[in-house]
Amino acid sequence: MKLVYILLSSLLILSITACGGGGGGGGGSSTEGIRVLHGAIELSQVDAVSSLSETGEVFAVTAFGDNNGYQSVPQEEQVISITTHNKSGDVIASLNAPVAKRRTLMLYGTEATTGNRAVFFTDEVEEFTEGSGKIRLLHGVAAAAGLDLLVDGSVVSGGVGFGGTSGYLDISEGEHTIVVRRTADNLRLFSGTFTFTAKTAYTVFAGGEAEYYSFVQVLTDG
Amino acid sequence: MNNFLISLIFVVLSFSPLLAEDFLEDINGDGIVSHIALGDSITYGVGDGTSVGEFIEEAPDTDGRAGYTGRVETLTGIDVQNRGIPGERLITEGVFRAPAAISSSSADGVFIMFGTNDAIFQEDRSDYRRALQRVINVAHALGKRVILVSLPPPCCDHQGVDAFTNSYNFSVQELGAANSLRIADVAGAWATTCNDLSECQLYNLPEGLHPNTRGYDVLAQMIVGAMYGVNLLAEGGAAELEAMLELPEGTIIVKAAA
Repeated sequence: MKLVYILLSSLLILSITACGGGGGGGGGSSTEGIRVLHGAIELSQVDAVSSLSETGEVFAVTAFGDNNGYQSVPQEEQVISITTHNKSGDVIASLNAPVAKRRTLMLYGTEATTGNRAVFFTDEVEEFTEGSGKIRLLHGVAAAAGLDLLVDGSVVSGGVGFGGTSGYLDISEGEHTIVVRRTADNLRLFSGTFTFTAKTAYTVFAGGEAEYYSFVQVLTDG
Repeated sequence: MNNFLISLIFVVLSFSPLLAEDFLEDINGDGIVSHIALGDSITYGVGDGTSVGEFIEEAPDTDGRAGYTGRVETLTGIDVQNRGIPGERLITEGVFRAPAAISSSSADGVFIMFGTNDAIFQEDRSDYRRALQRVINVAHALGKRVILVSLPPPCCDHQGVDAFTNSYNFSVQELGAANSLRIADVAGAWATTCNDLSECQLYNLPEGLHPNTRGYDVLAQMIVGAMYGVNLLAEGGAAELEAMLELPEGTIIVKAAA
């Protein structure tokens, strides 16, 4: 079998957006709610449904690499179900949503190796340092056990585990170069320069599969 | 499930209003509407140039400018870059070259037609589905519109391969629905337009794997129908497309389902 791996590092979806448009019906775009980020390379477009919905209304429709922003969902205990779109397939995941104003649900992994997975993160920062924002990495890149996040050439978080996060870290306001690389061999997945604002939280979301197709999005949280 | 039922499913899925996408727009804003066609020898155009009734045991090679892509260009005036590679399987080759092929292209859309060689090698359907989803995801993430093309059932010297192409067509159907994509239902067109599916005149015969000139006409017309959102398998579909493209009556040879 001839395997030709295509290295596509630094594929960028350069979107610093407060909140995206669109998304599925029901929720509506908002600065609060649940944001679904899809980085699972072998997974189709998915629907997200809250257990609080009596009608089973889909509040977000998300495809690989989409950024549809936060969708309004009550800040209560609930179970979120992720199914393939148009009820055409299986339930991918059902998981308890944390009770918070803003939450991110990340889809990642591959069906054949790790299985398609889902995990929640809360997107809230308790306190900002004066003159700084916050930045964190969400690692959804298959074929990379760990990722490093670099700011201006320095590793600010190393070996972030697959499906995990670096947690929020301080980043001073102004222009910075962000690099995401695979920990094991320093394979660079992304490099880009952005302007960061004080008292703003940012998520660097990395999805796809290293050495096949990966992408990185730099998103504002809230 | 037989081909007729598969065709009916595709008709429903392919033309749902929920699936509307416009393949006539300059999505990336470069001033040109263009698409790329990923696939194998059938995308490349192998076997084109032969007539119905000719005895062909091995389909003739072509120069890559024939086949369905050239016909789509002629019918629509929209550029279609042929990226078919004869002999290529999706799960061992096509899926791996797709990211570079798509990302290096300035095209607005991608036509994906893989599986005949996978079928010859009896590749597993779930492997096919996962590989196809990968290509769809890459295209979507790169901002491309996608048309999935179902596979006509091989016959004659390649009898038996159709069991696999039919199973892959179920995946095409599933992924079309799950990803809200249009499907060019070439399998359905074969079912309605072949005089005899077991010895279809749209193929080089007795080879039974690569379309002949008339077969490529059918293939191209189904893709143009999908681009324009016209169901050629529905009564009146052919006339509707002929009117949209200002084609002489009878140009569209795809027959509607009975």
